[in-house]
Amino acid sequence: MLLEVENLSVYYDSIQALKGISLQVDEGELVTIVGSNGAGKTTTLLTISGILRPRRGTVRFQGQDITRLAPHEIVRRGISHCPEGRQIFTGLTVMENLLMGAYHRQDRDQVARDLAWVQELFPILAARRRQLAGTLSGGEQQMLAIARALMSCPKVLLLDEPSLGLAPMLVDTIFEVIQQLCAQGVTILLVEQNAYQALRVADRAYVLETGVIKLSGPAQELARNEEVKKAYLGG
Amino acid sequence: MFSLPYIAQQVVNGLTLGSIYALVAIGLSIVYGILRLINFAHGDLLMVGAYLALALLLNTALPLGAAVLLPMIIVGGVGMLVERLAYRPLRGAPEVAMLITSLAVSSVIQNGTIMTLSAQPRAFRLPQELIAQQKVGVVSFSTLDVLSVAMAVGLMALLTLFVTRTRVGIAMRACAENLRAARLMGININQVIAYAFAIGSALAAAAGFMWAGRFGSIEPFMGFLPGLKAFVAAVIGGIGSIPGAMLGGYLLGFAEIFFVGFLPPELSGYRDAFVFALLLLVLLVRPRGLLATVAEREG
Repeated sequence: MLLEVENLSVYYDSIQALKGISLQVDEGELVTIVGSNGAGKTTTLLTISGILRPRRGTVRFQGQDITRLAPHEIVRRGISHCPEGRQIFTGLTVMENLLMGAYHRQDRDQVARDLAWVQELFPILAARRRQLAGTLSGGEQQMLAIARALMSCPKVLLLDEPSLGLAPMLVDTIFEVIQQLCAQGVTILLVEQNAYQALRVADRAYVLETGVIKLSGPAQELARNEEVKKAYLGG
Repeated sequence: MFSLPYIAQQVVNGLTLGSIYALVAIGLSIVYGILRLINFAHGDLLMVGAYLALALLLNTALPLGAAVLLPMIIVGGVGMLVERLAYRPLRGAPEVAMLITSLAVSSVIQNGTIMTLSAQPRAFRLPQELIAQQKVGVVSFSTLDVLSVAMAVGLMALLTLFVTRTRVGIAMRACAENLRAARLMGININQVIAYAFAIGSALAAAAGFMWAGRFGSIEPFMGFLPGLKAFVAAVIGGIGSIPGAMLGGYLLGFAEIFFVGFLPPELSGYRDAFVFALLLLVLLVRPRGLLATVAEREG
């Protein structure tokens, strides 16, 4: 198992956001966590990345306990987190943003190859590489955020709401890219409110409800589940 | 009315004073940008730099350059040490806790200096050829003035290169903009913060040399005033922004000199009142400062 979350409990002060959730992501998989606003999806990703500290439970990566590691050490091990709301560095150029994604890497040649790769993946970034990232459109910023996360050469990519706030056409583009990445062998843990799209592209899925995993299984199966349909797919 | 030479002279004076404010303001600004810490101990590092410079000046065997550069290096290290001991343990604590800690650090440095070196002011004498006023055209200035401005501009140019061309420098800007995203990118923020303190403190030490040379004497509380003024400069320019700190520093330097130089003599005692009035005015028009980049940070 590449990434294993076990019995994770996370609190914001006295409020319990995650109530002992467990999930796994295997190499090469595209796994999605769906659920409504406030279910704990982002909290789960932030805890895996080491930004939040769990009160109980463990996060294991490639068999090693990474629960107490600092965020930069977790990135170094191969977990890259593309945060909710993009959070690109608006005052930095597109190229500088991409270089920040590769901050910890020493392998200059491979970084150069990855730079070429992400610009091939998102040609618009190549055209705008000297521009300040804050001048990009919402869709372009999302592409930059994904590209930046890819620059750390991740073994697993955590994607938090990549379709949030984007026009429907751009949502399709983003999901195409996600599928493309998956086809290239990138392991992805995707958090989405857009359950329809997420279940369509994912291999497996977890349904998260107020800090508890309600359902899990192959994405196709969950997409046909009556409860899921009712709650997340509009009936 | 005021003659042209008189105005030119005031511009020269403003440039010199502004250089000092700018150097001190940069250190306050980069630290605030990343940690949201108003570092009240920053001016005290300027004082430590001035004392170290004096010690080196008294040792006449050393070249003058050493009295400028060595304190910068040592104070840079002191700044890192202060961060490591006093501020890092408070990472994640409310901003007000850090603020109070910085007041404590300031007090420790000041009183430590008094206990070891006494509170007596000491003469800070530079070689005569450095401080002698010379007339060039219509304006007069000392070699120290020229060196101060040149050094300030040079250091700021170096800093600009650092934050635009180097990995750690770009990361420093990234951290100032969005600390959480920077952590998610694998940036070791403790390392970047240590760099920020080292750079800011070294610049303060350089400013300490210039300040001491300008006024000819040093004492343990000498850091308070330039520290406060530099804070005003940083806020005027947009605290958190490096170009803002530079702009704010020079604006404040010019404003102060002009208030004294062009207002009736009986009002010149109010120069600091005018300085703070200027601050209020800028904040009324641009609440985040002139070159604001820092957005409100959630959480």
